[in-house]
Amino acid sequence: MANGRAKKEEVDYDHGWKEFLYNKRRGTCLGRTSKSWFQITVFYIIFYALLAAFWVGCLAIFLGTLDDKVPRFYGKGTIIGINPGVGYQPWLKENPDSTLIKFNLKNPESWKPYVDQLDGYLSKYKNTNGTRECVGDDNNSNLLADGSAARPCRFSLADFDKAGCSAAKQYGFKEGKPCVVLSLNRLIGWSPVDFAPNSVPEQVRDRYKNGSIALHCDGTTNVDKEHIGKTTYVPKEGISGKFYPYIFVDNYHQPIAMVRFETLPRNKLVLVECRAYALNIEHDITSRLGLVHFELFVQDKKE
Amino acid sequence: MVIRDGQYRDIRVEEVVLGDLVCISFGDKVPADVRVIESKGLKVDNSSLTGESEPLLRAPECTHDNPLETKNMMMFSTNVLEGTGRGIVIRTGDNTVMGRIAAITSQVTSGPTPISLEIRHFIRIIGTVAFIVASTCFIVSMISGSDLLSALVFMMGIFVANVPEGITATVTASLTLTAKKMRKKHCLVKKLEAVETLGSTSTICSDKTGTLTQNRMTVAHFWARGEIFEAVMCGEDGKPTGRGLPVTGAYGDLMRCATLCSRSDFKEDDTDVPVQKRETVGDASEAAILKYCELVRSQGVTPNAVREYREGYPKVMEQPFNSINKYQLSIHTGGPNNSHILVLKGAPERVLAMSTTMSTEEGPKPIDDNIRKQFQKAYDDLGGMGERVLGFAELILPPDQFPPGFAFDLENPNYPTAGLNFLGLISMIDPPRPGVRMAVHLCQSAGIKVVMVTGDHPITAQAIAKQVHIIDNGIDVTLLIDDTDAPAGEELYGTGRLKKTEAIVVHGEQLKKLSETTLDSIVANYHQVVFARTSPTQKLQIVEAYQRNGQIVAVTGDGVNDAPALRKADIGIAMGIAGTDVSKQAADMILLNDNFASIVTGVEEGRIIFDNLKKSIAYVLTSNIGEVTPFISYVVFGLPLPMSLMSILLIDMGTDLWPAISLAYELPENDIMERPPRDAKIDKLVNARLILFSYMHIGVMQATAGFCTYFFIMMQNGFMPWDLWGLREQWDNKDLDTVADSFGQEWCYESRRQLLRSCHSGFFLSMVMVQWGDLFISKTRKNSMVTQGMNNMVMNTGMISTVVLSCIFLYTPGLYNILAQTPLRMTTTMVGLPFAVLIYMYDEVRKCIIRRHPGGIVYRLTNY
Repeated sequence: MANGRAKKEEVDYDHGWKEFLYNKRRGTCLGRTSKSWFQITVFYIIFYALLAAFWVGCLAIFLGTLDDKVPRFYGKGTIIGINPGVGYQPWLKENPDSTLIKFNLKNPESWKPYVDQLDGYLSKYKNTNGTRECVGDDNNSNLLADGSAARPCRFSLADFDKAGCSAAKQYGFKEGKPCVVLSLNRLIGWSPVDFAPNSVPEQVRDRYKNGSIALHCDGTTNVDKEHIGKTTYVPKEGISGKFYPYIFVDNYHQPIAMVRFETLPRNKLVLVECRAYALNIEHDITSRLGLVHFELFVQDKKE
Repeated sequence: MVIRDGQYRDIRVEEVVLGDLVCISFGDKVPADVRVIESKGLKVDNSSLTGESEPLLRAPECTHDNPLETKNMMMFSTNVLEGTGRGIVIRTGDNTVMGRIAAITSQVTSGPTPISLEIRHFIRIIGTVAFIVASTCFIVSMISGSDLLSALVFMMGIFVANVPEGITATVTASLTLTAKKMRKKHCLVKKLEAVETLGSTSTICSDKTGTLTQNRMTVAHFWARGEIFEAVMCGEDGKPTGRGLPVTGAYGDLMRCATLCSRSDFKEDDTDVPVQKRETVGDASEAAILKYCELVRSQGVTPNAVREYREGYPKVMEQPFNSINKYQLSIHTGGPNNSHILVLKGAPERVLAMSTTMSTEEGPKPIDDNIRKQFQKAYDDLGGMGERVLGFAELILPPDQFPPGFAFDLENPNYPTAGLNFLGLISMIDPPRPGVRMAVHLCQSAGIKVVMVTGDHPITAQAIAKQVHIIDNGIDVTLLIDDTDAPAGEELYGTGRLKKTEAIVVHGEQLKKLSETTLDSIVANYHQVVFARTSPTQKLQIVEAYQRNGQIVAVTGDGVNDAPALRKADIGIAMGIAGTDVSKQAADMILLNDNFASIVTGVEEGRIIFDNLKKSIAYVLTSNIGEVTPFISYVVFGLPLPMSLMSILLIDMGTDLWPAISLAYELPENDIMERPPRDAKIDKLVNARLILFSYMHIGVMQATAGFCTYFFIMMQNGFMPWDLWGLREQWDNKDLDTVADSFGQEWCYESRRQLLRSCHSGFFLSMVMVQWGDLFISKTRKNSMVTQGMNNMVMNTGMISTVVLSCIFLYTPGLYNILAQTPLRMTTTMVGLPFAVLIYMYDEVRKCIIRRHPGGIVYRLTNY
């Protein structure tokens, strides 16, 4: 064995940054020759292509185990749960962080975005393809069993038109009596459970009807409660229960209700809390289940 | 004891001044550098200064220009072994040779250790990478419209994800661990980082005396009956090894002479100690002969054979050795017919000149030219082996002239000193330590150059170098030992005196005359180098030359003369038993058993550290991609954040920590001592290949695993991957309670937050799982894991610990809320598994290709 005779290969270094960027002597750019760059590019393309295929393959296998009608987890004991939240419209997509409905009676431009938003939101009810008229006791409860032949109940906006919340009247915004759409979050498999006759909450006792989800809006604070004035619910008994349970089909008509603020004060901000009432809706302020908050601000000063 | 102003005074060493006349006798320590003006058999031990193991005679004559070479100088702090004398103080304190060595020692430093340079380099790289990635994400998120605060939070998150938190712990753990292991193998590590330095060592400059050799003169050969015989040696167990000649005939006479003509004896009756290790009085050569006689006579069976034999021949008179006579003789009774026997030993040519006959198997024969020729050949042969040769002769005094009770007179010799019967030669050498040869061989196969740097004579040095295979047998050796003047200017390899050979022996006197370029040329081109008769500064010079050549130099030594070189070296290794305190202080590591072979263990351990650090860094870095890509996808693709900052911290500071440290406990791969030492310029601890492989290969695989889990959880809860694109803004809107999933269900903010949490947990868990795969592949750089085995118990427990930890993080009620995690379903936890397997398989294939095609493209791209 020679003493340290195992000679290292002669190594040529790049001296400094310039040579690293482009070394004329060795014909390298960024420390590699063009052939080496080509090899490395080909290697990475193949490597990532295979990896992506593996990844997509894994996801596809998982996807194959899923039902295309219902997610794997829904209903009781899952993250989404069985306690629906409440949504309201008009909510402006352009200003997503705000729940304020603010307009000036003297300026039609100021409420136009809200009207447009409501127009857009309600337009889906004009599409009646694949839906059916549900009269009397007819409801959606057998929809799931029907499978692909399911035809969900049609939701009619006629009640709103009668109550002065029609598109033609610009949903009351023009008069300073804005109509706000309230809806319950769609949850697959969820249907309202009726209150026992003697346990209907006080707030909705006068207008509660079995099978429906009654709504009640009030000021958030005591000051707001004084200012909020008269509220009319359209329809009176709230959201109709015959559209439940929700299932994932084309053109499902989500039932909604409207609340019309008849006597809103001018130039005052009112914080509104609307709650939905059914036996299986719990109200939770922190997670905002079963209720919704928004603010109303009607101005009538010239700008 | 000094004479000052003509008066004897007893003064302390500190008070000795220039011009004092000091009286010195055996047992003293020389108080200053002293020029001898009067000597009676004065012998000093210069071994701590020059490494010569024999006592040196001091006399008034100036024999050399070099103060270390000349015979009329005694150096400060050396020991006087024999005789008495007087001398004039010419240098004291710091001005003495010893003082100057101490001064040089304190001046030189070796600079930062390789490992600290590597760590610094690593920090720079990782800092740059982290900064670039983090600031890019910051800019992108600012552009995409996040507010400053959350953009800052993301930047910090990405920064944290990129910084390998466990690496300091790993470095310290592996260094400490190795230091402990080394302690068990009799290496005391003074500076923790020195352990790794040893692993990167490419050149070992080893002192000869005491490191490569035993520093114990031993009889190696004898010449009797006209033949050279190899002497029996003492084995480790105290029994002789090899076949000895029967102690009869001419050899018997030689042995009788050797046994009797000696002033040496064993100190104590410690007969249970092997002969070699017994303490003796007298000088090294005499002790060697004494031990040899004891060995031959006792055969390891009868203790104190020499003493008993000597009792049969009581000593009547003796004449000690002096430099004029160059022999010593003694007269004993007990010869045949009550005669006296005169036994004599001394310089061979001198003894031969005094003899007229020579003892052979057929009885004494007159010495003729033939015998003289034989003698000269044997003498040259033995001398050429670097051995110290003594001649032996005897004369049986006729009883009629010298009856029993005859009074021999030492002052006026009344006995013959001519016409003796020549018996033979005994040669001695300081033999290499057992195991050194193997150790040198191991070093060489590990690509480490072993260079001998000694204060001893070139011939002895070369002989030992050949014995331990620092210089190959039968190879051409360029000798630079003549005392001629070097040609002016620079000499290059292959021209002039620097012949094109593998090996070279350089004398210190020559070294002094060589230019720096010439020395560099020697250092760069000869693979087998011996430097002899070197002074402390020259040792330093040699170390510096090797360092200039880009080598990482280890120096071993025991003497004061080695101290500057020990200090200058990248790693200085001192001897624990034979070493002087000065050398131990200058060293970074101490071999407690003085065994060169321990260095090999050190080299191996050092390489293990470097390897394992590499593995640990590769392991830790890999998870960064899986931790950064969620943020990038959040910012760029608008996915709801797949992984939280908290989960990143749980991985980096939680589950990754133990496995990363456990890699420090990983056993070496089987090629660790067969590859050349790393080139400090290109073989960095962390190089582009390591980063690329960790990030672009394994890291990306890990990220896909994480995203797979993320999408899996989202899918199960109703969000299809294609619906998640750009959902970020709606998803993160606290006031929006109606975000629809792919099944039309509407999610309120709280439920979305819960869902995202379980995604974070899922991502976290799949990262833990793929890090398992990563840990398996990080165990080795080249070997298959099948050959490497799973014997690293720290790692195995570490793997279990990651599972236990993640269970604690995810399933402890209360705790998971604090850590922003949620318990997961069993099916979800398994999503990462195929990816972990994929990572393992991928890397096994990669390593297999590397093993099959070393140096191929896969090797060049991915071998870190």
